[in-house]
Order: sequence, then structure tokens, then C-alpha cells
Amino acid sequence: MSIISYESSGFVGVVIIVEEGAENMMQAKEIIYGLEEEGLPHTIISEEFHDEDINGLAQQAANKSVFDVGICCSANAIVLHQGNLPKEHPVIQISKDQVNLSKARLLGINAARLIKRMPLEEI
Amino acid sequence: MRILAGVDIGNSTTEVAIACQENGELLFLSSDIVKTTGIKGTAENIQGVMKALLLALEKTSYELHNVDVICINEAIPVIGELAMATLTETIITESAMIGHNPSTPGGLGLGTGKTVRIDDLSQCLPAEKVIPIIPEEVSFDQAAQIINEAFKNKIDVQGAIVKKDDGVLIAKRVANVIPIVDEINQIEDVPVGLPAAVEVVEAGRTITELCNPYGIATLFGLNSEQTRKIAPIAISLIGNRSAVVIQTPKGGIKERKIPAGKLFISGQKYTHEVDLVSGAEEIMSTVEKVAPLEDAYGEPGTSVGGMLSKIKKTLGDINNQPLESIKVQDLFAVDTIVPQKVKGGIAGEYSRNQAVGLAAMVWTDKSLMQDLVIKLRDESKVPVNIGGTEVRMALLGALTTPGVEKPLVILDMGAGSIDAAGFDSKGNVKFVHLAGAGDMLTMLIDSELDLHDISLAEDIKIFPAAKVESLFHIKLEDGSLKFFKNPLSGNLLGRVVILKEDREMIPLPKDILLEKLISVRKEMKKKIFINNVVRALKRITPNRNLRLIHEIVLLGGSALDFEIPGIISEFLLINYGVITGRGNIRGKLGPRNAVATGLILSFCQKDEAI
Repeated sequence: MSIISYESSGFVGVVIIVEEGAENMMQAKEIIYGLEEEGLPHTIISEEFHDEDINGLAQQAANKSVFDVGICCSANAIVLHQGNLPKEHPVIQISKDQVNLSKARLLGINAARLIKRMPLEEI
Repeated sequence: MRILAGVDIGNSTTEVAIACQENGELLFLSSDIVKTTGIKGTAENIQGVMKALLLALEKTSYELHNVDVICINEAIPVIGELAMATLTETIITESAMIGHNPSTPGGLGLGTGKTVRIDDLSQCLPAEKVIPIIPEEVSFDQAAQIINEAFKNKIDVQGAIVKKDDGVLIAKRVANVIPIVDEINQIEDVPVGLPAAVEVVEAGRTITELCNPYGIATLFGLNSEQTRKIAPIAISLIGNRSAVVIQTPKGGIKERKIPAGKLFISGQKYTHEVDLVSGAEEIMSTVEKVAPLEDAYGEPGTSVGGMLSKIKKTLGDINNQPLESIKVQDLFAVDTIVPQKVKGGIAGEYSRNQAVGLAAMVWTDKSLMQDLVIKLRDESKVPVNIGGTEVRMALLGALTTPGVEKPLVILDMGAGSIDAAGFDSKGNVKFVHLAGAGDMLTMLIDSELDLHDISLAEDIKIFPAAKVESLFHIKLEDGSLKFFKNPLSGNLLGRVVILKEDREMIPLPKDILLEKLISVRKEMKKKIFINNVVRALKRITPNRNLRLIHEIVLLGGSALDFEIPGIISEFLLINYGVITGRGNIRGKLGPRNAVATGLILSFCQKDEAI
């Protein structure tokens, strides 16, 4: 496990766990753009994992975040989680084959809105 | 022994009471309530009456054929119709402004310059003040690159207008701090090559320059006449975090006064003329001046003319009467504000326009009632007896409330009308039926919050609201918090919701704020109920002096509202020292069933007299 980028020290803002090798994929970038547009900082952690663990990892990411909000992004699925939710019931999950760039951006925006307590965008 | 049924057909509900009389003892057995079918006082009501009767009888050991008599109210069929007439309308000619509040605009500051397509930015001259327009197909990366390139070439890029929600992303990637307004839906309509101004302020603040007519005049060098023309633009931008104003050659924005028309209000002697534009207060003082109203009609070809003739036509159609013979018996007007989409706007701007909401009441022919009675007798195979007028029955019913005695005054507040009744010094009953109650409230909540959803407006009217603060807690109207064990659905987050009795939460459109909803709901309840209650009470009180009233019992569906009885009680106690309370029919039914109960009581009293 290695921390690739962070803005100050520790796990800043929304924590995003990205499948190793997928860091440079457009969808991960779009999630970050969504957060950026809403003014939220973030921390990226890259890790190797299996898709079936994605909910649990999203929850772990949330538990690391000071805002209690985390995202897990693999090559073909994205999950947005809040730490106090049951593992199998994330806030939003975009499953296999449903992922596209605009949905990834909206998921980033929604992660920020979850923290801002603003109405979520429909994905 | 005999079994009696009391049936009260109201504008929105039909209520029944079942009682058993044995050896002069009257014992109420059950009661029930259903939605009124059809227009009150017409044969269509029978379906609802039968349903209510059967439901009430189910709770007893009797069946319909055991019932000896059905006592029905002499339902004065009242038709209340509602309409809105907007008095002003905001039109932007040649799209002169974007008054727009995206949630996250980018950058900061105030910029002025000519609008230019982002593709043409590189061809601008050094030191030229420009504002690029960024369409959907240009990504934030590309846009930032082009703008940075322009900065290098000494082109003075003052700000930017963006279609997508990319404002912050672009702002972070350009070399200088400039204001960027995003989420402009119809960016294609933004004219190119014209002077424009863009303003963005820090989060938590509101713009200061573009919402000030003289601020705009300074930026564009306008003369006094031009400044007057753009004043409505400036005013409509107040409270925004960002805005764009574009000066078009003949551009302007108008607050056009719509010819709302004149209202003709006829009393027994005179007909008065009121311009709808003069507002509710003027209309109501005229109605009171001429009371009792003989008729009212609107100037043909205007919105008020159309509205009143629509009411008369509805009525004419159900009882086949010529339009001329149908008279408006009461009229109630309320001022309101209607948000309307600005014609010619680019980002879906709204402006708040003045309007008047009207409720009118028309009494129909009593022959319809005869028809109803005959059909009800045929259908139920039970003798039907028409009791006295509704308000007398309501008075009798109200007296079954513990702690109430004569001389009382009742206020029966239903969906369509407010009825008041009391005894005069000689013991005679004085009563009045006035237009404008629950349904009017629903209509005005619907239009003022721009819902276009009557059933949602109805829910807003009768249930408290809350804001979903997180997936585990909500903030209630009084600021207290309520917590949940299980997470709420994500689509409720950040929304204002209506808390229904069964714990169901109904989300409202995203742009409705909790504070706004509460103030609209309360203000409307005050405007309609306080004004109409005072009007009704004055008509039945000697010398119109409300201080002479002993006590008031509130009845009807609107008396069940969680706020209305409180609003009325407080107002009457503070201003007139009158005690007002919600009725509790037979000590257990609350403000419901007064008329149905009264019908049975009256029927038995009459018998005793004989």
C-alpha cells in the first residue's frame, strides 16, 4: 500500500482507494475533478484488490477520511461509501459496465455534496 | 326503538353519524367520513353517502334496512372556484441578462469586456478586454489552456461564461484570478461581440455591483433612462453569488403589466368597479362595502373576466342553467407572489411577479337537492328527511363539545368555504357563508412555491417539514434534531422533506429551502384564515363588534390543521379578547361530524316538540 498524492499530511478530505494500475484511468480523474469543482480536497491510496471487496474497501476509505466519506474505484466499478453505513449498503454504487466518465464525475460531485449536506445529483 | 342516520355532504368530505333512540334516550353508535363524490349538492354525491353509511353501519350491529330515517343537511350547494391572475410579467428583450446562481461558480471578482467565442480568443488584440464564452464541447483543460495562451499574448481576459459545471476547475487552471460563471444552459443564446459584465464573490457572500442599477450604469456608461430600463435586472440579481449582465443594443428588460382587467362588484344598489391591479385589499374593501353581494363579473377578454365566467360555466353545465342566471355570492381575494420563468432568459432565470388569487362562490339551485333526495331514497330504500340549514345543525352539533354553552359562535372551516353562525340578542340564528378556505390555501402554496403539484401542496399544507441533514438525522422546523437507527435513502439527503403521519418522508424539489417553505405556509394561512374569519365574524356580530362574542368553537376539516386553529385563537384573543377553541363533537370526534350529529339531534327535538 502506498500513498500516491495528498495535499497536506495524513488522509486529507475524501479518501479514494484506487485499484493499482488504474490510477491514471480517466474515471479516477473524473471523480477527482468532481470533488475539485465542489472544492473538496482528497487523498488517493492505490492498492491491489478484487472487485468483490469493493464495498468493504470503500467503507475502509470512508473510515480513514476525516469527513467519513470514501470512494473505491476499480477498472470497471465505483462505490461511494459513508463510514457509518452497513458495508453492503453504500451510498452509491456504479457497477460493472455502468461506469462512464460523466457518471464518475457526478459521483465525485455527490461525494462532496454528501459532506456539504446538499441534495445529490442523479446518476 | 329506531335507528337514525345523519348525513352531512360537504365540499370535500361526506360525514355520517348513526344513532339509536329508545324510550326517549338518544345513543350515538358510530360515525364515519369519506371523500365527497362529485360537486356538493348534486346527485353524484350519493355514491359517497352510501359508502359512508355502510362504513358507519359496519361498526354497529345494524344494517342499512334497519335504518328508520336518513337526516340529510339542506346542502346549499356551493361551488368555490379558484383562479390566479398574474399582474406583472418579466420579459427580457434580446436576452440581456443571466441572473444565475450556480452552486459552484469559479474564481472571484468583477470583469467587464466584450463577449467572444473561445475559439476566436486567440485572434483578439493585446489589451482588448474580453469575456470568452465556453460551450459544452470545450473541456475545462482546453478552455484553461486557451485562456492562459491569451494571457501570454496580453489579451485582457476579464472573466468567462461556461455551459458545463466546470467553473472551479477552469478557475484553478488559469494564471490570473478571474470571475467564471458556469451552468449556463442556453449558452448558444449568449450574443457575441457585446459588452458584458461578470461578477463572482466568495462563498457565503452575495454580489454587490451587478445587483445595483447604478453599479451596472457605471460599468456600461448608461444614461438615466437606460438605467431605469435595466433596474429590474439588477433587482432580480439580489442575493446571488454570481451573475452575468450583457448589454444588447435595444436590449432591455421589462416588467410588463398584464391587463388583468376590471372586476365589477354589484351590491343591492350599486355596482363598483375595481381594477385587479389595485390588489386584494382594495377588492376586499369593495366587497365588504357592497355586502351582501348580488353578483360579480369581470371585464370580458381579460384574465379576471375569463376566470369568473369559467366559474359560472362550470355551474351552468351541471344544472343546465343559463349563464346569466348564475350569480357570484361571495368573492375573496389574496395578494400573492408567483415565481415565473423569465421570458427570454438564458439560464432559466426566475423572477417574482405579483398576482392575485381569487376564490368565488356561487350558490346553485335548490332543485338539485330534491333530485339528490329522491335518488338517495331510491338507492337506500330508507325515508330521507331534509334537516334545517347546515349552520344551524353545526351549531347544535357544536353544543355537544364539553365546556361549551349558548350563546356560542361557530366557525366551520372547510375546503371551499368558511361558515360562521351565532345567535343574535333575540336568540335567532345569524349565519354567513364565505368563499376561500383550505382549497385556496393549497392553490396559493402551490403557486408561491412553484410546485405545479396540487397533491404535494396539500401535503405541505397539512404536515410539518424537516431538512435531511445527514443519512442519520433530520432537522425539524423548530431546529431540534431527530435521529434514525437505519440510514435514510441517499436521494433524501440535503432535501427538505414533508413528514407524513406514517413516517413517510416526501422530498421536495431541490431548490426549496426549509425557512422559505415555513414562511410561505404560515403567511398564507394567516392571509386567508385571519382575513376571512374576521370578515365572517363581523357579518354575524351586532355592530360588527367582535368583542361582544362570548366564545367561538372551530369546526370542519381546516380546524384539524396543525397550525390554523392556533393562528386563529391567538389572533382573536390578542385583538378582541375572545376565547376560541377547537370543537370536540360528542366529546370524542374533534371538530368533525358536527352537522351530522346536529341533524340527528334536531330530528329528535322536533319529534319531542310534536
